[in-house]
Amino acid sequence: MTILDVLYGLIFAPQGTMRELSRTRPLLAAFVVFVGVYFANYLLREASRSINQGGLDLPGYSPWLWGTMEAVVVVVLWFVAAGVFSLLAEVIYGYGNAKGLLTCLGFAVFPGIIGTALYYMAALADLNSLGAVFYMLSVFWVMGLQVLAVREALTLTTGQAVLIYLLPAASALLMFLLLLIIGGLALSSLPLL
Amino acid sequence: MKKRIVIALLLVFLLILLIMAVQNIGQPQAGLANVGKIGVIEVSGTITGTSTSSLLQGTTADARYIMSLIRQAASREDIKAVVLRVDSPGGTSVAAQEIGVELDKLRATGKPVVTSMGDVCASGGYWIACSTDHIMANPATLTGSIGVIMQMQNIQGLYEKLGVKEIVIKSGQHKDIGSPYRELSPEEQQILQGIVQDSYQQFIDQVLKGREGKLTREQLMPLADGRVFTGTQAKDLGLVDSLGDYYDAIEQAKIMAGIEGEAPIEVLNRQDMWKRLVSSLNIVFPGNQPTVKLYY
Repeated sequence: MTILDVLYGLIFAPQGTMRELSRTRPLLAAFVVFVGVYFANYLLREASRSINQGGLDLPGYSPWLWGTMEAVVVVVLWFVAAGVFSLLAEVIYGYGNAKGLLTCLGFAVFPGIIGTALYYMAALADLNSLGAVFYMLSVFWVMGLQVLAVREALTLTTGQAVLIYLLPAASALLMFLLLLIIGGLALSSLPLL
Repeated sequence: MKKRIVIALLLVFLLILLIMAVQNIGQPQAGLANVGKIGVIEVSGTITGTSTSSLLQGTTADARYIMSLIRQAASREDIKAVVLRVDSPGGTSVAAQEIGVELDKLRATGKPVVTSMGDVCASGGYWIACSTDHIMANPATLTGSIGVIMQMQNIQGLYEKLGVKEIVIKSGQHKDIGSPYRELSPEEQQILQGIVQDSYQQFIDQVLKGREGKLTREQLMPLADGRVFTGTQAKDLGLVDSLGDYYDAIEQAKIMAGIEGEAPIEVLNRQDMWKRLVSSLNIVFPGNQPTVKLYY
């Protein structure tokens, strides 16, 4: 499967492409696509921001510095997400495939660039609401592909894949709420000054 | 074949947009490119005539670089007004003077210059603010510090403990004035005090010139003892024109330049990552600096 086949497949035949990617695991290509898509997305978002704010830049703001720092965080999150999803699947369903999943998740971000590109075009045409709709649609598209990546890489059903996909975020939210409640209780038990 | 065409078209489309995006970043809104722009020049940190920030010195404002930006703002037709964003405790006298002179030249072109004071705009920072048409401070800004300081170290005792003896061969009595290896003589102290007083007088003249019609010498002299003021106090005393934040200063510049509607803003000295990295590695060792310097 060439890179063009993969990119075409991600848009028009995602299921079979993800299955193939989880098997062949072209991790280097996934890394290149992931980082390339990230930087392209970042440039388009920054350009849209410049247009929407009329170049209203704050002193000291450096988009290149922030972009690079953000890229490091995003790549780390990609690895963490693949590791966590694979670990959860292994614990709950007895099968993990971290490398395959990492590859699939790396490629899954590709359609996101289409949404950002359309968002930028909408910003140029001063149609920001339409741009936001395109952007949101691309976000859902990428999320759908990520669920598909989890399903195909970890050989799960769609329901199981959705559970694995949402479990870390749901757990974090639950923990946050618990901490909030515990913190609130602790504060309320303090003597008032 | 069909796949290749579809993906190739998509990639070409994305590439074109990316090229446009790179050109757009930090630039004004498309279609507004030919209307009046507000140029913003940052003056952050100690104002110096030497290199920019270093790991040891913290942030410094390189006068040469700032002067080049002022000249750029003067020569560019699309820039109709300039906001000088100052967040500086001062710096060397000459560096502040040079920036002030360039600002005066910029104003002579008819482009209004507005100062927006950040956390601190004192001493040399205030000097350069006096070379602008309108000074705007935040209520809690620290400003003022009108005065001159010259500081030296005497490390004679340390050298004696180390067994180091400085041998000086000089052409005249005062050639090593301010030497850190011996006590300052009363005569030398008098000479240096004279320099400080002269420089102080230049500072007073600069403030009087910048605040002409708003502050008299009689009103200024009691304030010019090196003390600092909050923005609110400075406004009441006539050291600044109005209170407001960065965006208010932009608005003020727009009004003064007669710009109606939207005005794109361009920060002229926005540094990219590599410049920051390189400048942060540009370590200036104290030993490289001349012994005696005047600071506003």
